[in-house]
Amino acid sequence: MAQGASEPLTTGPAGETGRLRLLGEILALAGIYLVTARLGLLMAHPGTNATAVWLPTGIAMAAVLRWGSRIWPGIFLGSLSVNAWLLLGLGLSAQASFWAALAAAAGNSGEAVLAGFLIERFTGTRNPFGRSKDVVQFIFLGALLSTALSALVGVSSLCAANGRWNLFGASVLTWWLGDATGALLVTPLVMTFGQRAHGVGAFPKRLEFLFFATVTSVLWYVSFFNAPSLVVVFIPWIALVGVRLGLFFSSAIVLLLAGLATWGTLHGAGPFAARTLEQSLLLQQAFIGSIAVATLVLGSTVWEIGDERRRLRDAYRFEREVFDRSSLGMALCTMEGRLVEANPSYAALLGRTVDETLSLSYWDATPKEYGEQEDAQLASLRQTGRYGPYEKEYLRKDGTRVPVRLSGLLVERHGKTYIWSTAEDITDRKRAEEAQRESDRKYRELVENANSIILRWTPDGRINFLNEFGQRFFGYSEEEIRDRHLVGTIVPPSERSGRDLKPLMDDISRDPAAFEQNINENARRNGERVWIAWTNKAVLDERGQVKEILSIGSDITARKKAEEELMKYREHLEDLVQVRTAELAEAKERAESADRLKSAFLATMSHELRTPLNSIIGFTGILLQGLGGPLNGEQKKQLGMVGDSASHLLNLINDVLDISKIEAGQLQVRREPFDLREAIEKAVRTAQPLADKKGITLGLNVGPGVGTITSDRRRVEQILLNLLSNAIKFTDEGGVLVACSAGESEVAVKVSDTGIGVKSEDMDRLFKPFRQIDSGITRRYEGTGLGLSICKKLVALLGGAIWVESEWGKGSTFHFTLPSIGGAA
Amino acid sequence: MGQGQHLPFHPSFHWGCGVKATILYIEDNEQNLYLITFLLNAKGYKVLQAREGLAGIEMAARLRPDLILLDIQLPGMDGYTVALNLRANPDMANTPIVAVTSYAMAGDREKAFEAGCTGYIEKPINPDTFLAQVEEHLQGRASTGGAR
Repeated sequence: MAQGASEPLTTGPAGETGRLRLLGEILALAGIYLVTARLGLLMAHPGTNATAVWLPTGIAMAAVLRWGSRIWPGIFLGSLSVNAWLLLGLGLSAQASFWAALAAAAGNSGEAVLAGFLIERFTGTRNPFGRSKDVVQFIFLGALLSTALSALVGVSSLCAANGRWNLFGASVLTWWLGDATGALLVTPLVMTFGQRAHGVGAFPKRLEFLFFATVTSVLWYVSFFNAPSLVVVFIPWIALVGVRLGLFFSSAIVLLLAGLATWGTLHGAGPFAARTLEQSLLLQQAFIGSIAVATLVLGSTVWEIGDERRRLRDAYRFEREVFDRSSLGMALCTMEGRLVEANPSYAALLGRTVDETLSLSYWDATPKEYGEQEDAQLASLRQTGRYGPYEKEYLRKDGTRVPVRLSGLLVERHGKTYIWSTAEDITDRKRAEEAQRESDRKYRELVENANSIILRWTPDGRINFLNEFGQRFFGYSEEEIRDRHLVGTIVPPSERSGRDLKPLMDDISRDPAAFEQNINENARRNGERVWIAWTNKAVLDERGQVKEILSIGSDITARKKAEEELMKYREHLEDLVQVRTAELAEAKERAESADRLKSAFLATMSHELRTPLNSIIGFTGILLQGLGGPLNGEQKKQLGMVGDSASHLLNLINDVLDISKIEAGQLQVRREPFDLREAIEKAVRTAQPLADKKGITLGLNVGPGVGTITSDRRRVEQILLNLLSNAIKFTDEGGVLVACSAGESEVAVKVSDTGIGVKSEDMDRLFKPFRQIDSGITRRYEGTGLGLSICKKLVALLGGAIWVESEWGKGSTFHFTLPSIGGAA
Repeated sequence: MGQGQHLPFHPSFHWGCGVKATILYIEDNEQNLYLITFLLNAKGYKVLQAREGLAGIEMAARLRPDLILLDIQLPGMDGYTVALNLRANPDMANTPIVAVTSYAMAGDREKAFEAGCTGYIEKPINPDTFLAQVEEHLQGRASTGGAR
């Protein structure tokens, strides 16, 4: 009945149990079945239930295909009720009607289940409308074969009920054709209902459907009511519908045509109007069935082609997008190297646009020096169909180069062979590799050229590595030393001192941390022993075990020797000191005795020279005084000359002795207070006779405040007398003036004369010993030339200063200062 | 000797007035001995001569001269020792002893004073000033003596 008609077919409230949902589906299907069956019966041959088009069959098959065979009770129920209703209406007994209806329902549901089973069994799918091949399976297995079952069962039960077996054959045919047509028209419509959503039902398609529906209706009208022969037009027309509209809409058109044709035929119109209505309907059913089959096959084929095209286009789009957007450079080129395809990444590698790249040959981007490598890769390509991966460089548009990693294969396209290449920019990797190489090189250089011995050895004492310096140092080549045992090569079994080195090596390898530093004797290849200071460090493996010991050594042989010598030296230092002290004492003795000798010599000279002079000067003086008797003029004159010469000789001796004493450091000055004024007056008094003799004046001007100073009176007088006698000696006219003034901490004395003066160029020689200005003067002015030199030294000893101011021809002024108290010696 | 009038302004002329002092001269060099003896005699002084230290000491103790002139470089006992010995005699504690020496090295003068000398005259003597130097000591005046 219609109780489940309002139930939606395809949707069930979410969360309902499957059982409830199935029940709903079953009831809904039963309702729909009933309704469509009643609709179909409207077009049934009066007095039979063999209708022209049994639409519920299509519904039932679609239901089984969609929901599976478990839906069969819905079919059964719908069919049972509709057949019971029908049979009861024919006036059969209730019992007969029931059994006949039961049989018909079994046949109807059985055909649907059988169709579902066969289709799934042979096409492998529950929707046979995706591929034209499956559509053909549906037509044969579902629409034609399975429906035969229903027809046989249904007609048999009917005949059994009404006993009219004479109509069995015609009834089976009618039933079968009705069911088959129903399946052909409705099942695809229902099954492809969803396809409308995939573009087929788009707006232009609906317009097109309306157009085809209208034209179909017009054609129907014309061919049924005016020109029956025009029915042939339906054949190409329906083909066009199938090609243009796809399965759903073309099924709908065919359904429309079936409805119209049936209606027309029932009313005795149309090309199928035959002798009997039954015959007419059968003819028409055959026509409609053929049309449906053709439409289905064409529609599905066209749809399939379209679908294939869509899929191909999608696939192409996908591949194109991958190609265009891949960061890997990809290109296709001919065997000659002409580039026919390139993606943007590939073009970017070449520093060009894609279009620029496509006008290139592969060889344009390949630097000359890679020719050989390219040939090898091409050979590999021809032999194996593949090349690479290998590395090379591309020449970019701007002339720079980019390192790439290439690989590729031979591909066929349009019957031609091409090379498909993928290229990857490896600049970063190259840079990293270069950096790594550089780092390795630096490290190697460091290790190899370090002025230290760098050694790696295994815990059992075998040498893994010895750097170049170490090789040179010990005298082994790398091949000679590698894998040799330390002991017996660079480590002697024991040191010369007797220390056993084997246990030391064992200790180090057992616990390098505890022997981080050690000094031991090593041996060069020629047996020479050397001392090395080692630093040891363990190199651990992943498990934390000592894998290697890294030892860095410095040659400390020289230091060691120096230390040994120092030790020896230290031991003998005392002896050395004694020896040296003795030597020094001897030297001192020698120096002192030389000094004593010198002093003795000076004393002797002083004594021995003065003694004869004493007689000469003394007796000359006595004679000149007349104590030895009266002298005549000549005698006096000559004796005076003797006296002068003797005095001069005495001065010479005194000066020489003074300068000798000063230079020997033997002249000591005293520090005693005395009255400077008195000393000056005494000197002037002493010199007065000399001035008188030359007839020049001798003046004295002692300033106020000049009094007691602390100095050496005798030496001060000596300086004054020297300066005075000098001044008088070199002054022939005018006079000599002595002036003295007292300052805050020193006294200043000056002796001015109006003599010949000193030339400025002679000033600095004036105070040097044995210098008398101008040899010409020496003849005129007697003197040793020592006087000023002695004065300068004495003044210095007394802590003062002496200098001269002079103008050649006008006179000189000698200045000297003395500290009032003490003064440095 | 009577030739003193050649030097009418000599200080000894006023000091002596015929009561001339006795001077002991200890000197080994004959020429020096003669020279100074002559000079002093010419001025009216009585001169005692000793040619070596011990003789001088003995003579001084015996004859009590008013002044002793002492050479330093003497054979046997040197002048310093002689001076020390002379001073050791209380009778001669105040007798002027003047060293007359050709020693002119540093310290010679100091050594002489340390040994007890009261004056120091370097040889060669200046005949013009020698008497004045001697007479300074005779008058009891302390003097370190003059320069050359």
